Amino acid sequence: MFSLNKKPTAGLPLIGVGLRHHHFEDALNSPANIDFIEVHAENFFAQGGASHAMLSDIAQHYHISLHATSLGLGSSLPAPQKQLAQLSNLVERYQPILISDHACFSWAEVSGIDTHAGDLLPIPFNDESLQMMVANVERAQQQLGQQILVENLSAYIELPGSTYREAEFLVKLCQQSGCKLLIDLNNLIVNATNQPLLSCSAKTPSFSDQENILAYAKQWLNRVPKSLVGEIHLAGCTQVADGEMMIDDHSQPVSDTVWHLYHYALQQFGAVATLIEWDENLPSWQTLIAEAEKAKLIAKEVFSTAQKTAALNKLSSNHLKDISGEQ
Amino acid sequence: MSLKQQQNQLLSAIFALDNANKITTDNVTLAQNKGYTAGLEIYQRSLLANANRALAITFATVHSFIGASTFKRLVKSYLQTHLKDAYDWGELGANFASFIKHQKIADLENSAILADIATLDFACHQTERAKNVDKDLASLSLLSSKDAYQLTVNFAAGFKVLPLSYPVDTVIEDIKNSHKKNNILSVEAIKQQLTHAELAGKKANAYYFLIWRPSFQAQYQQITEEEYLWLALWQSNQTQPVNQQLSLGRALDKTKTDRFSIVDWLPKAIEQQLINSISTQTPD
Repeated sequence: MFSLNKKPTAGLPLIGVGLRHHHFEDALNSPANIDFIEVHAENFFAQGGASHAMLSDIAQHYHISLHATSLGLGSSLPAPQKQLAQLSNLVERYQPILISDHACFSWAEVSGIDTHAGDLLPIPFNDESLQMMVANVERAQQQLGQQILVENLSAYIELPGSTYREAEFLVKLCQQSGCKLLIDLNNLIVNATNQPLLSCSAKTPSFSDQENILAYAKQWLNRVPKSLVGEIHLAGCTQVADGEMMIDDHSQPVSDTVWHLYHYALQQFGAVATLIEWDENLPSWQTLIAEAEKAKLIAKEVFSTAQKTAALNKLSSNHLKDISGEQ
Repeated sequence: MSLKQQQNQLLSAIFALDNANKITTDNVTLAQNKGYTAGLEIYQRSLLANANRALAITFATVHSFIGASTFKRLVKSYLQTHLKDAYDWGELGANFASFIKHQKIADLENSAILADIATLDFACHQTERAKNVDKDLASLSLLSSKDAYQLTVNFAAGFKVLPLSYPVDTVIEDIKNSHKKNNILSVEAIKQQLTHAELAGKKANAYYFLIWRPSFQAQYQQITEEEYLWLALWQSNQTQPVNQQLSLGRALDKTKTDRFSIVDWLPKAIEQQLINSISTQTPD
């Protein structure tokens, strides 16, 4: 066992990893230089038992971030009250530093029966979706008693009827509901890669190479004000051949493209809490932590450069003052 | 098309699961979109994989007996006939046992015994997820100092009793032992075991099981009909308001058979950590 490491390094973002069952023992027994642990909320919806005992132990050593995957905040059929109450109980019990879910729908009627997709399904980006989602986010925030983060999706079907770009839609959602964004950088890359296979809108251009994909992702980020970003997710997925759909399976190390985008995102948004996600084909705990270390190195690089630039600016400004004083 | 209709259509198409049902009158509008079929297949594969993973955890014994491929086919049929009303994968499968009962699985003549095993699997899984119950073993001393009408029994987390048609504990043990001897047991061998058990199961009308959780792992045990009736009283008591909770004295009064002995049962229940504490209550 090790002592609680809950103090982040000054000036750097909080950097954490997603914790899956496979790594519970390692997380408890091997000290890791990380600032928080993210867990999927639904894995702790049981009223009692071993999962809670484990999470209670984890919470003694790390800050907790609760990442929900089932609320379906874009559903026209709202989540049952019991579901929100279960999430609320977890929030009360574990006092997470962050709470998040996705810009998707999960609840709908099938043959007249309220059915849960068990997945994150895409929504069209229009006023009807926006109104629905603002209401659902406000309801969740009211029930949980705090602001939530909403994550952009990787989508494999494009529903017709979008009148906004995704980033515009999400910005409006934040402005109208008071939530913040969790930007998943790999989802941006996945969507840009799949765009030629899916696009049914004139507003979404097709991309043919990595450079264009990256340019699209940077444009996406440029549309989001700094003040609305609450967290960044980093993940890797299986690479595919041209013409095949890329799936965000969280089964690989973070790709070079995503690392590059992360560097850019930190410059844009400042020291935003960052999480490494890895859900399939799980690596060793050490490998996972090494990914978090890499994120930390990039953050140090970005912010030390920023500090140096600021210091240089200050120096030259003082120098100018001195010169003008002399004159 | 409204947002609600759009969402209903997409989810219906995903749950249809079969290729032949991908484009129906319900989703014809969505299907005109570029990449719709490829995207739909991704969501369908994801639904099936997640449901399979969740149910294989909940119904671990059934999964190990019928094998991964048969289990996957069963899960697919289940999703097509029983929609996913649970948002928590851990709660999926409430009707899986009754569904199994009416399926033809791995050439088994009768799936009833497999359905009983599934019922036990689900009960154990639910017990493992049940709310924790505090232990206070010192409170057991109240049994010797207080009137039985002033005492109530607090059972271990997730405690429940079940009547089943087959002696599934013996069946499970036999199949596990065969597994150990033969490393991987063929479907045919499991079928023989189950057929044998099915015949043996006809010796009694019902078999009774107790499920409880002394710590984190669920335990199960076959019990007598008398113990079952006694524990069923306490099981129904769990849903009663506090002011209507059963006292030990009243429970004994309600037990009509003289074949149940509290004197024999109590030390056994304490030893197997079925009782977590004794508390006092206002006489009823």
